[in-house]
Amino acid sequence: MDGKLSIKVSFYKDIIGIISISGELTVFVEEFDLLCKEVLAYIKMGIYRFILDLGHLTYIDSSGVGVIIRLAAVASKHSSTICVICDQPQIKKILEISNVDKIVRFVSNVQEGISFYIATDRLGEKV
Amino acid sequence: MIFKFTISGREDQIVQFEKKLLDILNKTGRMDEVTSHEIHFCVHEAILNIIQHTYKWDLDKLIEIRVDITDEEEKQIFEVWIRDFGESIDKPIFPPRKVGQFQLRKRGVYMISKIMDEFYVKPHHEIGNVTYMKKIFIL
Repeated sequence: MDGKLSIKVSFYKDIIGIISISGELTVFVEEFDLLCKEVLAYIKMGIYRFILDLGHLTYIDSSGVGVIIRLAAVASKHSSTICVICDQPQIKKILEISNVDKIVRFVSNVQEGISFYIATDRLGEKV
Repeated sequence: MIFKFTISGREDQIVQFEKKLLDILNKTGRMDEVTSHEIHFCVHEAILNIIQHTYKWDLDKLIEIRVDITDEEEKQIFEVWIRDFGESIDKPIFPPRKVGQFQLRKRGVYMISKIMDEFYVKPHHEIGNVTYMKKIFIL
Protein backbone atom coordinates (compact mmCIF):
# COMPACT_ATOMS: atom_id res chain seq x y z
CA MET A 1 0.00 0.00 0.00
CA ASP A 2 1.23 3.48 -0.74
CA GLY A 3 -2.01 5.28 0.09
CA LYS A 4 -2.88 6.80 -3.29
CA LEU A 5 -6.08 6.70 -5.28
CA SER A 6 -6.75 8.51 -8.52
CA ILE A 7 -10.15 8.87 -10.20
CA LYS A 8 -11.00 10.05 -13.71
CA VAL A 9 -14.57 10.30 -14.91
CA SER A 10 -15.95 10.80 -18.39
CA PHE A 11 -19.30 10.16 -20.02
CA TYR A 12 -20.52 8.54 -23.17
CA LYS A 13 -23.48 10.56 -24.47
CA ASP A 14 -24.45 11.54 -20.91
CA ILE A 15 -25.83 8.10 -20.16
CA ILE A 16 -22.80 5.91 -19.50
CA GLY A 17 -20.36 6.89 -16.78
CA ILE A 18 -16.81 5.78 -17.47
CA ILE A 19 -14.87 5.75 -14.19
CA SER A 20 -11.15 5.01 -14.31
CA ILE A 21 -9.70 4.19 -10.92
CA SER A 22 -5.99 3.75 -10.36
CA GLY A 23 -3.95 3.13 -7.22
CA GLU A 24 -5.56 1.71 -4.10
CA LEU A 25 -9.32 1.44 -3.66
CA THR A 26 -9.57 1.33 0.11
CA VAL A 27 -11.31 3.37 2.80
CA PHE A 28 -7.89 4.26 4.22
CA VAL A 29 -7.00 6.62 1.37
CA GLU A 30 -8.14 10.24 1.46
CA GLU A 31 -9.76 10.23 -1.97
CA PHE A 32 -12.07 7.32 -1.11
CA ASP A 33 -14.76 9.61 0.32
CA LEU A 34 -14.54 11.76 -2.78
CA LEU A 35 -15.13 8.74 -4.98
CA CYS A 36 -18.17 7.68 -2.90
CA LYS A 37 -19.66 11.19 -3.06
CA GLU A 38 -19.05 11.43 -6.79
CA VAL A 39 -20.61 8.04 -7.44
CA LEU A 40 -23.63 8.96 -5.31
CA ALA A 41 -24.05 12.20 -7.27
CA TYR A 42 -24.12 10.31 -10.59
CA ILE A 43 -26.70 7.89 -9.21
CA LYS A 44 -28.86 10.83 -8.07
CA MET A 45 -28.54 12.25 -11.58
CA GLY A 46 -30.17 9.04 -12.79
CA ILE A 47 -27.09 7.41 -14.26
CA TYR A 48 -26.95 3.69 -13.71
CA ARG A 49 -24.80 2.44 -16.55
CA PHE A 50 -21.15 2.48 -15.59
CA ILE A 51 -17.94 1.18 -17.06
CA LEU A 52 -15.40 0.82 -14.28
CA ASP A 53 -11.87 0.76 -15.57
CA LEU A 54 -9.77 -0.93 -12.89
CA GLY A 55 -6.88 -1.52 -15.27
CA HIS A 56 -4.46 0.46 -13.11
CA LEU A 57 -5.79 -0.56 -9.73
CA THR A 58 -3.10 -2.05 -7.49
CA TYR A 59 -5.14 -2.88 -4.40
CA ILE A 60 -8.78 -3.27 -3.37
CA ASP A 61 -10.34 -4.10 0.00
CA SER A 62 -13.93 -4.78 1.07
CA SER A 63 -14.75 -1.06 1.18
CA GLY A 64 -13.66 -0.81 -2.45
CA VAL A 65 -15.64 -3.93 -3.28
CA GLY A 66 -18.58 -2.20 -1.57
CA VAL A 67 -18.46 0.70 -4.05
CA ILE A 68 -18.69 -1.75 -6.96
CA ILE A 69 -21.58 -3.61 -5.28
CA ARG A 70 -23.48 -0.33 -4.75
CA LEU A 71 -23.15 0.54 -8.43
CA ALA A 72 -24.16 -2.98 -9.45
CA ALA A 73 -27.21 -2.83 -7.14
CA VAL A 74 -28.39 0.43 -8.72
CA ALA A 75 -27.88 -1.00 -12.21
CA SER A 76 -29.77 -4.15 -11.22
CA LYS A 77 -32.80 -2.07 -10.14
CA HIS A 78 -32.91 -0.82 -13.73
CA SER A 79 -32.52 -4.37 -15.05
CA SER A 80 -29.02 -3.51 -16.18
CA THR A 81 -25.51 -4.28 -15.00
CA ILE A 82 -22.17 -2.56 -14.74
CA CYS A 83 -19.13 -3.31 -16.86
CA VAL A 84 -15.71 -3.83 -15.30
CA ILE A 85 -12.32 -3.74 -16.98
CA CYS A 86 -9.79 -5.64 -14.92
CA ASP A 87 -6.97 -7.91 -15.97
CA GLN A 88 -4.71 -7.96 -12.91
CA PRO A 89 -4.95 -11.47 -11.44
CA GLN A 90 -4.74 -10.32 -7.79
CA ILE A 91 -7.64 -7.84 -8.18
CA LYS A 92 -9.71 -10.27 -10.23
CA LYS A 93 -9.22 -12.92 -7.54
CA ILE A 94 -10.60 -10.57 -4.86
CA LEU A 95 -13.61 -9.82 -7.07
CA GLU A 96 -14.17 -13.57 -7.48
CA ILE A 97 -13.84 -14.30 -3.75
CA SER A 98 -16.35 -11.54 -2.97
CA ASN A 99 -18.76 -12.98 -5.59
CA VAL A 100 -18.70 -9.61 -7.37
CA ASP A 101 -17.79 -11.43 -10.57
CA LYS A 102 -21.36 -12.80 -10.57
CA ILE A 103 -23.05 -9.39 -10.57
CA VAL A 104 -20.89 -7.46 -13.04
CA ARG A 105 -19.87 -8.00 -16.63
CA PHE A 106 -16.16 -8.13 -17.37
CA VAL A 107 -15.16 -6.40 -20.58
CA SER A 108 -11.70 -5.96 -22.04
CA ASN A 109 -11.95 -2.24 -22.86
CA VAL A 110 -14.25 0.79 -22.77
CA GLN A 111 -15.43 0.28 -26.34
CA GLU A 112 -16.56 -3.27 -25.54
CA GLY A 113 -18.51 -1.89 -22.57
CA ILE A 114 -20.22 0.74 -24.72
CA SER A 115 -21.04 -1.90 -27.35
CA PHE A 116 -22.51 -4.10 -24.61
CA TYR A 117 -24.87 -1.33 -23.45
CA ILE A 118 -25.83 -0.45 -27.01
CA ALA A 119 -26.69 -4.09 -27.67
CA THR A 120 -28.46 -4.95 -24.40
CA ASP A 121 -30.14 -1.68 -23.47
CA ARG A 122 -30.88 -0.64 -27.06
CA LEU A 123 -29.04 2.58 -26.46
CA GLY A 124 -28.78 3.22 -30.17
CA GLU A 125 -32.54 3.93 -30.16
CA LYS A 126 -32.36 6.27 -27.15
CA VAL A 127 -29.52 8.60 -28.12
CA MET B 1 9.55 -17.48 12.56
CA ILE B 2 7.66 -15.05 14.71
CA PHE B 3 7.09 -11.38 13.85
CA LYS B 4 5.49 -8.91 16.22
CA PHE B 5 4.09 -5.45 15.50
CA THR B 6 2.22 -2.76 17.39
CA ILE B 7 0.47 -0.14 15.30
CA SER B 8 -2.27 2.45 15.58
CA GLY B 9 -5.06 2.90 13.05
CA ARG B 10 -3.28 5.82 11.39
CA GLU B 11 -2.88 5.43 7.65
CA ASP B 12 0.92 5.84 7.67
CA GLN B 13 1.35 3.11 10.30
CA ILE B 14 -0.96 0.71 8.49
CA VAL B 15 0.84 1.37 5.20
CA GLN B 16 4.22 0.75 6.83
CA PHE B 17 3.03 -2.44 8.54
CA GLU B 18 1.45 -3.83 5.38
CA LYS B 19 4.65 -3.19 3.43
CA LYS B 20 6.58 -5.18 6.04
CA LEU B 21 3.98 -7.94 5.96
CA LEU B 22 4.24 -8.21 2.18
CA ASP B 23 8.01 -8.29 2.52
CA ILE B 24 7.78 -11.15 5.03
CA LEU B 25 5.34 -13.05 2.83
CA ASN B 26 7.53 -12.62 -0.24
CA LYS B 27 10.78 -13.54 1.50
CA THR B 28 9.69 -16.35 3.80
CA GLY B 29 6.35 -17.50 2.45
CA ARG B 30 6.34 -20.28 -0.08
CA MET B 31 3.41 -18.89 -1.98
CA ASP B 32 2.84 -17.19 -5.30
CA GLU B 33 2.17 -13.47 -5.69
CA VAL B 34 -1.63 -13.81 -5.91
CA THR B 35 -1.72 -15.89 -2.70
CA SER B 36 0.47 -13.47 -0.77
CA HIS B 37 -1.88 -10.71 -1.98
CA GLU B 38 -4.83 -12.70 -0.59
CA ILE B 39 -3.12 -13.11 2.80
CA HIS B 40 -2.33 -9.40 2.83
CA PHE B 41 -6.00 -8.72 2.01
CA CYS B 42 -7.19 -10.83 5.00
CA VAL B 43 -4.90 -9.11 7.49
CA HIS B 44 -5.92 -5.71 6.10
CA GLU B 45 -9.62 -6.63 6.42
CA ALA B 46 -9.19 -7.80 10.01
CA ILE B 47 -7.50 -4.50 10.93
CA LEU B 48 -10.22 -2.56 9.09
CA ASN B 49 -12.88 -4.47 11.11
CA ILE B 50 -11.22 -3.49 14.38
CA ILE B 51 -10.92 0.17 13.40
CA GLN B 52 -14.50 0.33 12.11
CA HIS B 53 -16.42 -1.76 14.63
CA THR B 54 -14.35 -1.97 17.81
CA TYR B 55 -12.52 1.36 17.81
CA LYS B 56 -15.27 3.29 15.96
CA TRP B 57 -12.62 5.15 13.93
CA ASP B 58 -10.54 6.23 16.94
CA LEU B 59 -7.29 5.94 14.99
CA ASP B 60 -4.98 6.38 17.97
CA LYS B 61 -5.93 3.13 19.70
CA LEU B 62 -3.38 0.36 19.50
CA ILE B 63 -3.46 -2.92 17.65
CA GLU B 64 -0.98 -5.74 18.33
CA ILE B 65 -0.18 -8.19 15.58
CA ARG B 66 1.74 -11.45 15.78
CA VAL B 67 2.60 -13.38 12.63
CA ASP B 68 3.90 -16.95 12.84
CA ILE B 69 5.28 -18.80 9.84
CA THR B 70 6.03 -22.45 10.56
CA ASP B 71 7.82 -24.71 8.11
CA GLU B 72 7.02 -28.38 8.36
CA GLU B 73 8.14 -31.22 6.15
CA GLU B 74 5.50 -30.91 3.46
CA LYS B 75 3.68 -27.78 4.43
CA GLN B 76 4.02 -24.21 5.58
CA ILE B 77 1.61 -22.79 8.15
CA PHE B 78 0.80 -19.10 8.28
CA GLU B 79 -0.93 -17.87 11.45
CA VAL B 80 -1.80 -14.39 12.61
CA TRP B 81 -3.22 -13.10 15.87
CA ILE B 82 -4.52 -9.53 15.95
CA ARG B 83 -5.28 -8.14 19.37
CA ASP B 84 -7.38 -5.06 20.02
CA PHE B 85 -7.99 -3.31 23.31
CA GLY B 86 -11.53 -2.11 22.73
CA GLU B 87 -14.80 -3.34 24.15
CA SER B 88 -14.93 -7.13 24.25
CA ILE B 89 -17.52 -8.78 22.07
CA ASP B 90 -20.24 -10.80 23.84
CA LYS B 91 -19.63 -13.99 21.93
CA PRO B 92 -17.17 -15.21 19.29
CA ILE B 93 -17.73 -14.09 15.71
CA PHE B 94 -17.73 -16.69 13.00
CA PRO B 95 -18.18 -15.68 9.35
CA PRO B 96 -21.45 -16.24 7.46
CA ARG B 97 -21.48 -19.21 5.09
CA LYS B 98 -22.85 -17.09 2.31
CA VAL B 99 -23.79 -13.48 1.61
CA GLY B 100 -26.59 -11.98 -0.46
CA GLN B 101 -25.83 -10.77 -3.98
CA PHE B 102 -25.77 -7.09 -3.05
CA GLN B 103 -25.18 -7.44 0.70
CA LEU B 104 -22.46 -5.13 2.02
CA ARG B 105 -22.36 -6.08 5.71
CA LYS B 106 -20.14 -9.00 6.69
CA ARG B 107 -18.75 -9.36 3.17
CA GLY B 108 -15.23 -8.69 4.47
CA VAL B 109 -15.34 -11.50 7.04
CA TYR B 110 -17.04 -13.75 4.49
CA MET B 111 -14.13 -13.12 2.11
CA ILE B 112 -11.55 -13.82 4.82
CA SER B 113 -13.25 -17.12 5.56
CA LYS B 114 -13.08 -18.10 1.90
CA ILE B 115 -9.36 -17.44 1.74
CA MET B 116 -8.23 -18.71 5.15
CA ASP B 117 -8.47 -22.26 6.51
CA GLU B 118 -9.41 -21.02 9.97
CA PHE B 119 -10.79 -17.68 11.10
CA TYR B 120 -12.57 -16.35 14.17
CA VAL B 121 -12.79 -13.36 16.48
CA LYS B 122 -13.00 -14.06 20.21
CA PRO B 123 -13.00 -11.89 23.32
CA HIS B 124 -9.60 -11.81 25.04
CA HIS B 125 -9.61 -13.12 28.63
CA GLU B 126 -8.26 -9.78 29.95
CA ILE B 127 -9.47 -6.95 27.70
CA GLY B 128 -10.41 -6.51 24.06
CA ASN B 129 -10.57 -9.21 21.41
CA VAL B 130 -8.37 -11.51 19.39
CA THR B 131 -8.75 -12.12 15.68
CA TYR B 132 -7.14 -15.39 14.60
CA MET B 133 -6.43 -16.58 11.06
CA LYS B 134 -4.63 -19.63 9.77
CA LYS B 135 -3.66 -20.79 6.30
CA ILE B 136 -1.88 -24.02 5.46
CA PHE B 137 0.16 -24.28 2.29
CA ILE B 138 0.84 -27.79 1.09
CA LEU B 139 4.26 -27.82 -0.55
